[in-house]
Amino acid sequence: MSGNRTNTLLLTVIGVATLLVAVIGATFAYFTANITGTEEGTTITVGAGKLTIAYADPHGPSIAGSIQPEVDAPAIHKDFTITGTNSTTAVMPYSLALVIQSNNFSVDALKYSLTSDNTDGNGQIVQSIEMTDLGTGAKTIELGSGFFAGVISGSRHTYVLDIFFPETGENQDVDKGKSLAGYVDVRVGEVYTTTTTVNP
Amino acid sequence: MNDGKGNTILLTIIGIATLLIAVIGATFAYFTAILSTNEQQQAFTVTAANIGTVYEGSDSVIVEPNIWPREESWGQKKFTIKGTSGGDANIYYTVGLVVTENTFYPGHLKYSLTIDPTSSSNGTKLNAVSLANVPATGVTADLGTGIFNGPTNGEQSHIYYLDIYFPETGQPQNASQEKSLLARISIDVITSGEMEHTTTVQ
Repeated sequence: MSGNRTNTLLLTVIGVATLLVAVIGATFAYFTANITGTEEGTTITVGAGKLTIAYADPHGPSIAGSIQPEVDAPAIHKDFTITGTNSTTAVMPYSLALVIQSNNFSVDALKYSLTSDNTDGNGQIVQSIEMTDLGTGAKTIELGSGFFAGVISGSRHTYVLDIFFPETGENQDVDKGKSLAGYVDVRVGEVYTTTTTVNP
Repeated sequence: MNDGKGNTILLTIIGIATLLIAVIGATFAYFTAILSTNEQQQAFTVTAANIGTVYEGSDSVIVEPNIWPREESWGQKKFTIKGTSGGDANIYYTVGLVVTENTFYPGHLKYSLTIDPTSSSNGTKLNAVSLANVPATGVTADLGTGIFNGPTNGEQSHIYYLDIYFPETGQPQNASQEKSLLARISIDVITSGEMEHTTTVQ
């Protein structure tokens, strides 16, 4: 008897609950709005480019050593390469400087020159510089600016920096025991589009 | 004992019948119902008002594989939301920028939302957004809620443009080199309000 009552009660509850669901469900079904055409997959794909400028010098960027007057030959000879990689169409500017940290040679003793080569024909190299007085004392000498343009991979600009201690034919003992120390500095500038005028 | 069993069976039948009515009845509640009688009695035509929303924009894509910092936008996506409500029911839609992947340095990527001036004046459009941060991976930027006021008297359109920016900051931004963004637009729609029925008595 009690089992039948339990079953009756249970079925009554189920019946009422089902009825409630029917009413509420019908109500919500009435206010539902359909939407078509929504996006399912990715519609915005953006990637940043890769831009690098590498300095390569088998002897490192520093300039130092014992030097003596030479005839038609550099006292210090320095080869270095600037390599550009760029996956974008932006222009990559850079500049070169000769940083003299110390130089107690006499003012007319030393000279320098820069020989430039656009090895892979991209962009613009720093212009070559004919033999020029180095002067004396610590200083930074701006050698010039160049840039890589467009999409490139391992494009090279090669340079040779020579420091001369020319033999003058006169007594140069005043510079005995003097020293020179410095390095080549490569600075990269802010990339820009070809329609932007920015001094690198 | 027999009475108890009879009650059990009766209630079982009632429960099943109610369940069937709930399923079938709910389906038919959304669509039109036509009730007609014989020629000697008046015919009644009951029509549920039309309501629907359409999103157009899946074909508008931004694909830029090699961007760098600059002032100008790197891509623009146009999307349109069209609403139709034949009764007093309003249509509410919420729009989001769903970011599936964003490996850019935080704060480097920005987005803007602008409204096309040729959009319908019906209802309320999303608010314009200017250079907001694109959120991180797995995060959805809430672009807001728009409304079509019913009755719309035909299909109405709200037209939007989403732009992606990688602005210069004046500082090196190399941390974002070779990074990527994958995203899409999401939209959800709800309606509210009473629906009027047009009744024709012949």
